[in-house]
Amino acid sequence: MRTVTFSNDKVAEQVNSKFIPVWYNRGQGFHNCEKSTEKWIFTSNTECYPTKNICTFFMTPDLEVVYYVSGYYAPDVFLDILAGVQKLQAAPKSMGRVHKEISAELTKRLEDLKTVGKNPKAVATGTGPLAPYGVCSYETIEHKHSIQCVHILNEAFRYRKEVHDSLVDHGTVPFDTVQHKYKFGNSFSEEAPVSTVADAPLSKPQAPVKASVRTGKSK
Amino acid sequence: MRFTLSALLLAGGLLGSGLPLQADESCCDQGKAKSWKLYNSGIKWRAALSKDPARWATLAADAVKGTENMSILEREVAINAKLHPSKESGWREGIAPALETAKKEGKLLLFFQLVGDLDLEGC
Repeated sequence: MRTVTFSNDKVAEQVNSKFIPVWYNRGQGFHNCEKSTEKWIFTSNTECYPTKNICTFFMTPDLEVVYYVSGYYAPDVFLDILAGVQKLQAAPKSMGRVHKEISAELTKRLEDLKTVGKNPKAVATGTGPLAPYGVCSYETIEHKHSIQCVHILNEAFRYRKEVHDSLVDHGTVPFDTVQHKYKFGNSFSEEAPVSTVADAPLSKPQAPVKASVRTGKSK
Repeated sequence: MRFTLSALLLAGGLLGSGLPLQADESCCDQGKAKSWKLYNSGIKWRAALSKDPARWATLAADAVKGTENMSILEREVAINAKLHPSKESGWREGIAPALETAKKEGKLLLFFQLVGDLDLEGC
C-alpha cells in the first residue's frame, strides 16, 4: 500500500480530495523496510495481497465504519473500493441498500472471472473482466496479467463481497466492534490466537504462501 | 491457500526475535531511511500519531522492551499502555483533530492501520 497504491496518482487524487486520510502504527518499534518482500508481493500477488497486518477503515466522524478492507490492493482495485465507499457516502440513509447493490455487482464480476479464467487468450491480453485492472508498476517492474491474477482477483472480489454482505442489515458498524473482530476474532490471522469473541469472523482473501514467508510485514 | 503453521511460527519468531529487526539495509541505514522514491509519495496524511518521528522512535524503542515474545496484538496493547498510560487508546487522541476536520468538511475518514511507521519509511 505504501509504495504502490498510496503512491499512485489517481489513488492519491481520490483519497486527498474525497477523504480525510490518517494512519496509525499498531506495531511501534517494528522495523520494516525490506524491499525483497515488497517485490515478491508485487510480482506474485499484484492485484491483492491478504494480510491482517494492515487494514483500511472508512468511517464517519462518529467512528461508524462504513466499509473496510484488510490487506493490500493494487491501485485499480483500490480505486474500485473507493468508488464503492463514495456510493455509500452519497446515500447515508440507505447504506444497507447500497451494500446490497455493490455485493450484487461483485457477484456478477465473480461470474465473469469464472469465464475469463477458462480463456487463456483473454488472460494474456487482459481483456474482459481483467481489463479494468491493467496498469500497475513497482519501481522498474511492470505488471502483466497471468492466470494468477484471475485467482487473486477472485479472492479479492469474494472477500469484498463478504464484507459488504455483513453490512447489509445495519449499513455501518461501530469501529470498536469491527476492530475487535478484526483483531481478536480471526482464526486465520498470522497473529496469536487469543480470540474470546464468539461470533464468527469474516474470512480474508487467500493467497499462495511464499516458501519462506515473512509475515509481520506491511506493504 | 491458508497460512501454514510453519508460517505462523516463523511470523512469531520474526516478531518476537528482538526489535528492531535487522532487515535489508538497502532502504535503512543505522535507523535512518535511505531514499525510497515511491514510499508514501501520494497521500497527504492529515494526522499521524508521530508528529515527531525521532522522539516516538526513541519512546517506542523503550516501550518494546519486554514485549519481544508477544504477538503483534499483544504488543500493541502493551506498548500503548506504556506510551499512553492515561488514555484508553492512544490513537483516539491522535486522530481527534482529523475527526473534527471530517465533520466540518462532510467527509469520511480513511483510517489506515499498519505495522510500521510511515514517517520513518520503515526504519
